[in-house]
Amino acid sequence: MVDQVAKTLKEMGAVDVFGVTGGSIMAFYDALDVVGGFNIYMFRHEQGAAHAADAYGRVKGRPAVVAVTSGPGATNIVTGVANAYMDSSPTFFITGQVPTSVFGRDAFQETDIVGVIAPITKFVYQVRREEEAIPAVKTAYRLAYEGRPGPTVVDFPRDIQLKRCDCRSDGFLPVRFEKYRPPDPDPEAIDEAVRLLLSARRPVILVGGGVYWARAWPEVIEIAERLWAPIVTTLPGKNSVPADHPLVMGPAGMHGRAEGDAALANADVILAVGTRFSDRTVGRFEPELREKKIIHIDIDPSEIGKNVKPAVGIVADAKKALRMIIERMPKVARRDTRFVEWLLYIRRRYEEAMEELAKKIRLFAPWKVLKLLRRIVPRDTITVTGVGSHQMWAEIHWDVYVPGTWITSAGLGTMGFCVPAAIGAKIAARDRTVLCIDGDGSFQMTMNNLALVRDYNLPAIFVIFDNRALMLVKQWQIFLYERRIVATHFTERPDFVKVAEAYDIEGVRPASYEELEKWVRWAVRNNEPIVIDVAIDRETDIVYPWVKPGEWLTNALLPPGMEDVSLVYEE
Amino acid sequence: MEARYRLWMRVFGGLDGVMRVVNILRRGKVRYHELRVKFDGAYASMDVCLEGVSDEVRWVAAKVERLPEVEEIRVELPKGEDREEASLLLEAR
Repeated sequence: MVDQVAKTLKEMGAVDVFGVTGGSIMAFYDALDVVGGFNIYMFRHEQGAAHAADAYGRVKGRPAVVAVTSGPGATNIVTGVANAYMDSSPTFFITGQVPTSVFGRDAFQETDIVGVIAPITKFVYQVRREEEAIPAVKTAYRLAYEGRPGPTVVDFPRDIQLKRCDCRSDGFLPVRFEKYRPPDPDPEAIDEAVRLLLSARRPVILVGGGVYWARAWPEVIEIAERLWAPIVTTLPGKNSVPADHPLVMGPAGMHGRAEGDAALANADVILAVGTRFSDRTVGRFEPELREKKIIHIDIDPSEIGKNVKPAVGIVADAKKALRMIIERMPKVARRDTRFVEWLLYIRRRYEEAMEELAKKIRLFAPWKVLKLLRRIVPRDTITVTGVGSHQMWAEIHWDVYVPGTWITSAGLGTMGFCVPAAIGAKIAARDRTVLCIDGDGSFQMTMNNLALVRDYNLPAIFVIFDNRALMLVKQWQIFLYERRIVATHFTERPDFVKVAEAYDIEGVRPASYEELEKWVRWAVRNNEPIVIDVAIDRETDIVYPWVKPGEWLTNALLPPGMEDVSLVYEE
Repeated sequence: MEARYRLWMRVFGGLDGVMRVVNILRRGKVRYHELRVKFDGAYASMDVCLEGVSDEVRWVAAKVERLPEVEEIRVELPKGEDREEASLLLEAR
């Protein structure tokens, strides 16, 4: 049976397999070898395989195969599956399962993984009969990328894997795939959207990750240019528009850019595309957001009105809907430049303030490190982050020039994402530079997967923003918990340079920006992996701007030197 | 304004499919009454009474409809209520 599953996967082009083998999945791995033509990547922990597949799916647009054993093998992927679900990433998992004869008897390494994982998957199916196996695999694989992408899982009992079956591989489970094809945009809703945009005084476009999946950034930019409307992104939406376009203000939200926060906060009409209006993006939903007219375009009908009630909701492919808006909009619609000029003034003041702040910082200033890295690595470098203060610095200061080159754990906020995700991205795009911007806390959670770098020749650049703290939590402790620092300071262990050496990777701890630049250039030039341990002072590493939880965007905490700057626009 | 709606679904995948629907129902900000499930061997017919504001009912219905296991879904108001309004709940489709 597993031989036919392997053949089916090969026919579908799913030949990159990530995972850890074990008793209930070894028959499947054996079949991969018998059938041949597969690239098997042995991860050191199943969570790493899941995150790698997440990044791989985002880069390729098609899933890799993650294959793990039953029990702990299956439960170890749960965080990775949840991450892929929250960030709508096309991922496909096969979990081994104990034989059907011992189901529910607490057999060795038995877990009801279908029950565990059901709420965090786009689709999950347990194969109970051998004739279901091929349709289940084909259905789950296709569902992972059809419509809004997401994780799918097939749970495969060992006895079924070993059964002989003359099953043909031309069927699917009874799923109506057509419901995942977005409907054409409603022309009346489009007309209303155009009317709102043309009558707006300060229209703003809010771009989410869905714009990347719809390949709709040219349309976003065209509408922005016609209206001279600022473009603001969510954290995953950074992946969707080139940061060096003059109307892109960068991300808004808890750790958005000051000009991004100001743009969104002062908009009267928001054209929101491919975003779910996360609380992280808007700070709070009421009362300010209720006063704005929102046009919400999304491929998923369950996103419209989920967090914010729009004036116009359009369920459609973003590219199609935006194209229709453009067709119905006059060529020169609006060119009032004052709002954008004001936003650019805020940007200038913020950059000046951070430049001044850097002079007072001991060790490395995180934002200067990011700007240095950005100067050196190629424009199409795939940049992956972990989760923590380094991620927030990257949200604010890392410029994504090419859509599709920014991979971060946005929805779930999974520490440990960076190292395996960088490995998955490198597997998906071996010809590209891959940069992992990580923190010391995040790095330690999955650094065991560094073993794959040399095992499979996957040279990525790993930069650790090393403040020996869970710094973002510490920032909350400072501002919200009266400076009681509890369980957020690490010791000096481990030595990351030695960790790198243990995995046969160059490990360095630069003492200056010049030395940092030298090592990054060396790694890029020679296509060599490197782990760079960048020392950051945990006493001064406060991420600005910061919108405290439950606050509105204009109340963002700005860096010293911006006391005279208000984020409230006055005409 | 709150009202009572009836959500009817045809679901494949046995109890696992039913569980997936219930997982969505659990997360809706509505009250539930009279959950009924009937199997015909291949599919389960589920119906449940939802009490809440229409936006929340719409969210639940739209979320359930996205499940691959759900072959068919309908939202109905109790007899005598405005059926047009009920159909609007799934208009996004």
